[in-house]
Amino acid sequence: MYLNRIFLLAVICLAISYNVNSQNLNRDSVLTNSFTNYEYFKTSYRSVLSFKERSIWYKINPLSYVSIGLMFTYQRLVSQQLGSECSYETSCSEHAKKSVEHHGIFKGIFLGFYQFQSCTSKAGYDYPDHNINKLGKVINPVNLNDD
Amino acid sequence: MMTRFVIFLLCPFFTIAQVDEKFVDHLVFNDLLVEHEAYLSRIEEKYGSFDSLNYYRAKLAILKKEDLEFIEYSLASNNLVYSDTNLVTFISSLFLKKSRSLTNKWLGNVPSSYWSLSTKNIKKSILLVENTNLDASFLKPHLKFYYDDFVTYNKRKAWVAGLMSTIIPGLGKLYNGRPRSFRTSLLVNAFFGFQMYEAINKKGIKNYYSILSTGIFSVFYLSNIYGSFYDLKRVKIEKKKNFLNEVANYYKTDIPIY
Repeated sequence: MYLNRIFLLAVICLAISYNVNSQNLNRDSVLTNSFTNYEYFKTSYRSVLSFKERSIWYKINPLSYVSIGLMFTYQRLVSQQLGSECSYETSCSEHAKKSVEHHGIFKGIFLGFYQFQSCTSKAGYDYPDHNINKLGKVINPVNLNDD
Repeated sequence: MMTRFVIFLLCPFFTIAQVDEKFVDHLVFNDLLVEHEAYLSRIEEKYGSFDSLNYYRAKLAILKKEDLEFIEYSLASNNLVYSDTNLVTFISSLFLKKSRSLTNKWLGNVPSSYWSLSTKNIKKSILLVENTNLDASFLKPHLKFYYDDFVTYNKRKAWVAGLMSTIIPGLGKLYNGRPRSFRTSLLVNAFFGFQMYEAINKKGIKNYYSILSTGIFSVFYLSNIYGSFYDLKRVKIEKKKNFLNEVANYYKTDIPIY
């Protein structure tokens, strides 16, 4: 009984020792070369929704201020607690905000929700290489720059 | 005759170039941009502006990523920049990656006699993108693939994408060439649609929960339609830029400019 256990233990020890390799300079150099400085996750820039470029009707529209408030509350209170990483360079809420600024409330909200629906971890495969930044995120500008 | 010959032989010994090329190379390879700028400014102070100095200043502008400054100095260099065919091709492909208008502005200044075959093909590609009816036979098979992709998507209609998304949520995305987003969109819409159906079925249409779920589903559904409509415009631009980027990469010279 004990002999069996000792034999099993010996086999396990041998198997482990077979897989364990002593450290040498070569391996150390591989390790040191492969390690990079750890970078903390930086919170993306969050602007405050403004209608500076829009007409006076947008500025006096109470719906504009509701959307500003909602976006502000979401980004400052909710989004930071979620801790999820977006597959787009500009997050859904930031994109929605910029779209509202650029296209107006209805179109902007629609485009924001459209991006929200498109967001998957593999969304980058749907875009050409020049639309992917160094971090592997999709570059999604609000303006269509055909130049 | 003999005297003239001796003078001719002695000339190189007494001639000192105003811009020390080896020193400039040293500055470039060590990324000493400020020192590079200061060195060229010092020469300008001492000898005034001349063609070869403008040539070096133009090259410095590339390192500083000042595109318009580069164009200005290349104009001032009295065709010295344009006679460097390698530089012309390099800049054409570099500008093509940035914007078409910049490339057109640059190539507009370069006399056609200085254009290499690569530069000519870059210009032809720009014209081809602006007018797809032109002859595309000059394109290499690798580039032809990207051009065909661009032409295929360029023919597509935005309203068709919108209509397809109306019939089945997310189908417009498939039409726009985004299959992975299509799956997400379909799932999200199916989830909220089912939620709305259940709420109405169990609690009635006037219940606040049913109204809320209907509202959420409507926003997602309508945003998908408008988004698909708008996204096709973006897809067309993406395909165009993708093709031009490939052209720039293909004709980019691997010879260093310094």
